[in-house]
Amino acid sequence: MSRRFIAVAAATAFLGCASTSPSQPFQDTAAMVEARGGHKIVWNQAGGDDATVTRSVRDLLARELTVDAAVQVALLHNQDLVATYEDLGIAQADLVQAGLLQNPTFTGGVSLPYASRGNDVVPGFNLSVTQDFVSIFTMAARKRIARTELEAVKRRVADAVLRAAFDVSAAFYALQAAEQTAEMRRMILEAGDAALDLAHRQHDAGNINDLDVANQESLFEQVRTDLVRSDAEVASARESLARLMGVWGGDAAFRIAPKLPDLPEAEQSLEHLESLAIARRLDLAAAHEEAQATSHALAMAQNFWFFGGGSVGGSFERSPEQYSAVGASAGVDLPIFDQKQAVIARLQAQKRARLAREQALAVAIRSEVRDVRTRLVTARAVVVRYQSIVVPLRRRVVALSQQQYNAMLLGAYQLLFAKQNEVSAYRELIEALRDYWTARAALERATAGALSNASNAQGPGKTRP
Amino acid sequence: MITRRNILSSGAALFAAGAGLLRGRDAQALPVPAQAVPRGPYRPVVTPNGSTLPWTLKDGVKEFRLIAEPVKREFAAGMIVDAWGYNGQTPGPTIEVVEGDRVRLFVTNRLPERTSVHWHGVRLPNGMDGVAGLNQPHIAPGETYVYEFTLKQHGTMMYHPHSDEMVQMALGMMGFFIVHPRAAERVDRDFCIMLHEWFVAPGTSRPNPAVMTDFNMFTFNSRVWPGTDALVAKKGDRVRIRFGNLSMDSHPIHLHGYSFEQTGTDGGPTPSSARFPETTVNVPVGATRDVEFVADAPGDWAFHCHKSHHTMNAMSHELPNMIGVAPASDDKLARVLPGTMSMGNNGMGGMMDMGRPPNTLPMMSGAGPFGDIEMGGMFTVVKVREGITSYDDPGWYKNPEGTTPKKVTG
Repeated sequence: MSRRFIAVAAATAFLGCASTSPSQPFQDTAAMVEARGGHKIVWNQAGGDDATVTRSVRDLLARELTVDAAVQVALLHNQDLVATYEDLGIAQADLVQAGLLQNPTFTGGVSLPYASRGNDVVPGFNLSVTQDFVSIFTMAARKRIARTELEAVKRRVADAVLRAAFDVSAAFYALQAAEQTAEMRRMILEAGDAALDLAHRQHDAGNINDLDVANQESLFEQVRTDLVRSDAEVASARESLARLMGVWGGDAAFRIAPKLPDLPEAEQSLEHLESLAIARRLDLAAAHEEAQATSHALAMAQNFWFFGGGSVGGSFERSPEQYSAVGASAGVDLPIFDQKQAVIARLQAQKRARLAREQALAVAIRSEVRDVRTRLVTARAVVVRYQSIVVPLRRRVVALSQQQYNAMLLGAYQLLFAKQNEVSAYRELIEALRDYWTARAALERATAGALSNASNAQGPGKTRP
Repeated sequence: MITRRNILSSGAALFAAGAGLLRGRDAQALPVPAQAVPRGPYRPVVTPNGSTLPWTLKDGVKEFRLIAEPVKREFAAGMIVDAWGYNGQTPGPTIEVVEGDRVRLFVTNRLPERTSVHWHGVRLPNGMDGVAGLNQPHIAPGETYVYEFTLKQHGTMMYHPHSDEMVQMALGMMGFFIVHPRAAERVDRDFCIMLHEWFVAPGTSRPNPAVMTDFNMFTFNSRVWPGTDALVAKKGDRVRIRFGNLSMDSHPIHLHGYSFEQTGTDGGPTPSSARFPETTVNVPVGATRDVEFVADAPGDWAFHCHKSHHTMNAMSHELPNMIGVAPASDDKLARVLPGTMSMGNNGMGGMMDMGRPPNTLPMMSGAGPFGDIEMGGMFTVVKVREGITSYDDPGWYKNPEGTTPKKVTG
């Protein structure tokens, strides 16, 4: 019996001596991200700047950034994300901790006689070793909890990576749109400038009065103010992206692709996205693992309710009277007052709360998917409408105005106004295109990559609301 | 009954056979006075770019048939207008009769709305005056009314609707009603020109009757230069030009190279004592004017309304004033709108034709023997030639050596 106990303890202790290095959990996390169409992630666990990482970030930043490259930079460089990776280290350490036995307690004592009646009295001493034994029995359960929590953390971290990718994409498209909008406003200003220039020349020739010029100037100033605001929006959008990519100093002088991508010709299937999202979302999977961990903790508390603390020990004693004795001791907490009822109740409440949160999240994910899907479909329809109807119509208005201008049926001001309207329509198209790409990134986020990578879905396949 | 004299005297009779097709429908003719006899002969009028209404004779009464209907009218090559008129035309065909004639006029309404015909200036029984509601019921679409009266005067009269007349006249419903005197006159060329003005927005084809003052098309017999026929005369011809005006403005019509006398109005002949030489006759709204001159000076003589905007086509009246404006040093306009150039800085003449909306005429055009004529609207040429044997357009006048200006060099 005792031999078997030692074998179990030794085996447990051996298994418990797992590495504290989080590289395996990180690889698992990276695999989850990649399975969802995400980027490769690397983590320099030594902390600080990894020369390879720095080099590849610099390489990416030196070129004109695409949305993919911007995401890649953020994943390599954003210190918030690196901080999140450390959660894996913490959870891995917790797992190792759960596999460690409590250390034995060695106690030594000395007794010095001071009222002796004989001469052969010498100082006595005692030595004892006690070892907690409860942790041996609960080790498996504790490790199960820690392992489950590590699984939860892996999913949280992977989810954070996917969310960061979405945030970067959205910020990237916002910046592209802001830059293009500013460009459009610059063209509108140019048209306004041409009109103002004409007004000044007309005034110089004695053809229009001060009032007419003042009116034209105020129109121009309005457009110029719009451009100032637009430029400020570009600067702000740029900083948002820089923040998310974690770049500063010289690295913040990045350039991005100047034009929002065109609408993809065909939309991928938008069917079954809700169930795909449920199967693939990692925050939901994390919530599930967390609920599981609480279940395991509850089970442990229920299984070991009578086990407060307990130890066994051995002792050696040499008394001042110079006799020696060896002894053994054992002690257990008596579950008279604390039968873990409070701990159990707490864990039960926690478990119910976590299950409810998991359910709530599942409902929210389904709603989010429907919401973003509608936004995507609407944004596409709006873009198509602008591309196929509104912009060509405005272009036609300009062409027809130009025709009338050429026949001296229309003045230059009206022609320039038509041109400004055409450019405004382009600007609205840009906004619609930005909404489309943002919605697309949001749908990828909401479905954890189901849009680009539906065939690779490797979800746990749970049935949820 | 068609007499030989009718055939000789009236070009209209050439159409008698065609018009006869309609004869079966005049069942409800009014009682004919016993003395009704067609009168003549006379020198038929020429309606440039138009025609004369044929008539048929029935029991001594000249019968005319007018059909009020929507028509398409080409103002000049490149512009066709959706107008209203009579017998497929605007102005309606010229009705030409002789003082003393008994006339019977059938009016069929093929318009989408009711109408009536007023015989402007003609002295007739009150009930025949054509003011719908006042003198007769409106002629509903599809209905035919017949007017009948005897001409007791001569001169240049007109006909036009007097039922929703604002719309119907703005769309082109008008025509001449010419009554020749019973006694023969010494006139070799007798032209009639109806003056009118329209608003047809560039790129459209339908005149806008709501426009009251800002017209953009000004017509001689519903044509604009360069679509107006030349008025051709042989040297020595006595020429009469009759004008009618049912537009919203008066039109001072000016003839180059001559002076003329006003010889009559829709009120009757102008007495000799009241005639005086002039070069421009102002034709008031709702009136006619006859002028006469002897074509003794050969040449191509401009003939036009002297309101200068009335000799332009499809002009915008709301353009920014570009005259004298310095061209931009850095052409910002062309930068914003490639291919666009500043226009009108030095005036509007000599402009390149850079295209325009469909169904729209250039503001000014017409090529002459010396270059661009740059006119439009109420403009044509009186061509007087020596020794011609036909009144077909003789082409441009060959100015004798030494009678044209020379460029001064050195």
